[in-house]
Amino acid sequence: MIRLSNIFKYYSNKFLKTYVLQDVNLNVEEGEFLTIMGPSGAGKSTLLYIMGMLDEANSGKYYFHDMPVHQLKEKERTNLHKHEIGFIFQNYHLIDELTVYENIETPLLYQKIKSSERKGLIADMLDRFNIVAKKSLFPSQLSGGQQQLVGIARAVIAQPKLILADEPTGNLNSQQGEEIMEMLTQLNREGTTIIQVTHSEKNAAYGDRIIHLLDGRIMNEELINSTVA
Amino acid sequence: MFKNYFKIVLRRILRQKMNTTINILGLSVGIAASIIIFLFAHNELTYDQFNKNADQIYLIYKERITPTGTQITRDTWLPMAEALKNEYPSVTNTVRVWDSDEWVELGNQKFEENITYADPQLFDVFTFPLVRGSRDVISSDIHSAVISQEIAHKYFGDEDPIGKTIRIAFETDYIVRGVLAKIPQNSSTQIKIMVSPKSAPYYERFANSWNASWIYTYLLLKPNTPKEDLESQFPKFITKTWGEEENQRTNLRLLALTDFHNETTGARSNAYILLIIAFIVLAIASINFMNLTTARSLERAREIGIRKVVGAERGRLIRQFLSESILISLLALVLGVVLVELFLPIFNSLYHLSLDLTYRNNVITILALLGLALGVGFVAGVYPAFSMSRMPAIDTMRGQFKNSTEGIRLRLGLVVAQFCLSIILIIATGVLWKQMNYMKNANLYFDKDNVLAVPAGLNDFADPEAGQRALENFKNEIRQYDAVQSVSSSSHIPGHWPGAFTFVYPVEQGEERRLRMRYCAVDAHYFETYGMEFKQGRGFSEELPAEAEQSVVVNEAAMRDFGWTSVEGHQIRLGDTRFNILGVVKDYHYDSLVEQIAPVIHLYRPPDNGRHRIISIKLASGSVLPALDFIRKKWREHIPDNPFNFFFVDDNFNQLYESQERLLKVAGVFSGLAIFIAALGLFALSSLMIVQRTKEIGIRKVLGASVSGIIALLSKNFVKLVLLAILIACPIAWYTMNKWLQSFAYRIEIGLWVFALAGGLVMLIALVTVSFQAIRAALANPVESLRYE
Repeated sequence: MIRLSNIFKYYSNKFLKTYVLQDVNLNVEEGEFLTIMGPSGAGKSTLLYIMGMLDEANSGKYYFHDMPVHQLKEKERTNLHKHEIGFIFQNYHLIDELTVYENIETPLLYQKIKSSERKGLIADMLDRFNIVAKKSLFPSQLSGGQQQLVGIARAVIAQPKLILADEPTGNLNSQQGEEIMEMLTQLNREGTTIIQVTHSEKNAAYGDRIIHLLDGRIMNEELINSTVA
Repeated sequence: MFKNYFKIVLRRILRQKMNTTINILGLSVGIAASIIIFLFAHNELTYDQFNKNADQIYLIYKERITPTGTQITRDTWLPMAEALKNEYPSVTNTVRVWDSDEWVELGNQKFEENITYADPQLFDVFTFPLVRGSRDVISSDIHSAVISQEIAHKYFGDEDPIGKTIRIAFETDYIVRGVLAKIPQNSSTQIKIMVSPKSAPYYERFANSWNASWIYTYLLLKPNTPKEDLESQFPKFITKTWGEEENQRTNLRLLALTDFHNETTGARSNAYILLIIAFIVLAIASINFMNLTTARSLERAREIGIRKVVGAERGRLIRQFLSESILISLLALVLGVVLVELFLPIFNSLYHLSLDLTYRNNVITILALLGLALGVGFVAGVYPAFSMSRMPAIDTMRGQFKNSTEGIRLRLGLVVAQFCLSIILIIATGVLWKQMNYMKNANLYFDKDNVLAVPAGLNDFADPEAGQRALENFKNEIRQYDAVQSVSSSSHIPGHWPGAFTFVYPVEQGEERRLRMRYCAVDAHYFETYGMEFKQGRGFSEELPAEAEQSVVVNEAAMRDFGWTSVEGHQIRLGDTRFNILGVVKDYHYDSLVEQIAPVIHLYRPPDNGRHRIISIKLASGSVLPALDFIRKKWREHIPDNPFNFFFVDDNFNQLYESQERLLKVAGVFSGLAIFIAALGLFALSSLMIVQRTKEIGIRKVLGASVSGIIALLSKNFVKLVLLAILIACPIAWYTMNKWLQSFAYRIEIGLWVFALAGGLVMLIALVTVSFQAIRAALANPVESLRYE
């Protein structure tokens, strides 16, 4: 599904280039649950955002379903990302002025889905994540776990093939965290590819494979027995 | 999608009260101000255009070429209308119009009214519909009168006015045969009572005279006839009518009806000035909107990032922000229209107008209003929309986004622009005010204080001989009263100076040096009543009637035009009569200071002469009121049939400045509004910028900065901005106002104080606004701000 080769990413500051990613090569298969780990500043999130097409590498090649993302125009890239990719964030990143219902609706609006169809899709989502009663509340009226549920609902409503999660449980207590991880595992079983960034070994254990990043380079890879959980 | 934007805007409005209040309040005040000004300007700029034939109607006027320059007058001759119509096929219709204040008798009642003498073709040329009567019936009898609805009500109440008889000027009876529909306020021809020129008692005497001119002649031309075509044929007409010599010194020209109001009042330049002011107020309000929106983009960065992540393209975001700003400006429009409804009646009564925002049944008005809101929303929203949608999603999501220096610079640039515009408006208002003040307090070279003017002439009486006796007795009796210092009769008085011109030439130079000068008729007390100073010779004396009747008094301007330094040995000729020059009176301002003092010839007429129209009474200061009572009592004794009308010469003179005064008031109010809106914007912007520096302030305080030091630190930048604004605004204002002042013959020098005052005022307002926020920030406990960072 994803093929990265010789990815470099740096920030130049007058005379100094600071490398965030150096010569990253990575393949992700469809249906995989991949975890990216590493200390702060290792380039985990940058890698995630490059794969999510929110950021661009300075050099290297990126194929998504054999499409050369590094050669696409911005419009084509936006189109690809909005149909194929869903995001989940540590800080949930819900729009404060919109209700739960409206937050979940937002991606559909950008995909020009008809109103009647939208209603059905959102109703399913609310039902599936068990937040029907909360649909008219604003994010500030929800607990962190509930907000993250809304965040996941929003990420999956457009039925993306790939979900990118940036420390999805980072701000949650352990019980809420477990629920969220269960939810992601469930999605993965249903066929969605998931890539998560995390510090937590426990969360990493939910996945199939872990790559360790240090100073912008992939240090090693480990496979996890799917017997866990 | 729009529903989604709409919700966000409404919720944001409810949440960020101060920000949106300032945005919407500023915008709605700006919109209301520009609507009112636009209505006013539109009214001024569309004078007479309601006439269906407006673009085919012309007024013929003459240019008199004299050795000292060209003079324009619009009085024409009775036979001219017919002659032009016969001569030129492109003249399809004509109408002759003049008006005159006359007494109207209705049974025992008497009213003084403005009577319009006009041919019945008026109804074909102009668009003045009748609500009663028909044009044909009216034109079938020269003793028909057409009256306005207002007069019909005043004279006849609820009775049917048709068929009623009124007597005008004590001699001619008219039958009311028509009632006019209300003539729009922006018509330069207003009619109360209209009768046929042919019914005037003096009509026959002048019907074929090419020597006496006092009427307006309007021509209706064939559609699309260039006026130049006709004008080019007039020299032949002049030669044919008066001879070649006249052709050398006279041009006949055409003035489009639609230009008439502007020619007589200078309405257009005032209207344009006001439109510029409206535009400035609107610009300042829009800048507030832009500044506050971009300044808050930090807060919205996260939302923008999220939207990009869930699939918004940049175009969508631009549309979102634009629709937001348009929505806000639509809200401001609604509030603005409410403000207009509230303030328009006040504005109307202040300026005697009948402006109306006719949006209820007028699609064009509604579209124009919506267009205004859309335009303002677009202009104010387009920069924030583009700059905010450009922010990269990735940075905003990680909270790394910082205001770009470019954005900050632009915002500060806009603040400078706002203050620049405010300063220009304040300087303009200051200059306007000072010029007004100068004109009102200037030495007019006559004494206008405590002079009572009573309009009274022989044609106010049915029996002129009895009237003459009554007026003489009245004057003699009030002369006895202690506080009455002097009483005079004259045809003109300063401040009430209708154009009356005569040809005159110095006897020794002959007719080659024929000049055209203003003249007036005065009695022997005129110069004394107005305290005028003689430069040479003296005034008329009742004891020497023969001398008085053979001489004139001229002003200094006339002496200059004659090219004389002394009156000795010079004579002038008016018509067939030679006059000695008895005296030279110092140039006095008979008209407003807008006009240059032109040559004036004062002719002597004994006090009982029919030329005199006004009695001037000089009163001792301090006893004006008892004197007025006494004079009124004596009037009632001697002239019981006529109402006692009077005015004070100084008040009347100041009314000459009505249009300038109006401009000053409007400019004053709107520059006040402009600075208010700019201050609102600065208040919000400074509070935002200070909030963003909370951490810095906390650290500085922990490191030992004093409160005053921090206030200075926070205010310093804004002071620099205002200084820059002053530097830019002053030369622009100086240049513009200097241009404007050129339209006044007598004008002030723009003093430095105006610039100092305007700059100081704006600086003060800016400092108060900013330091209010700065003090609050400086006094805050640094621990609080640092803990939550």
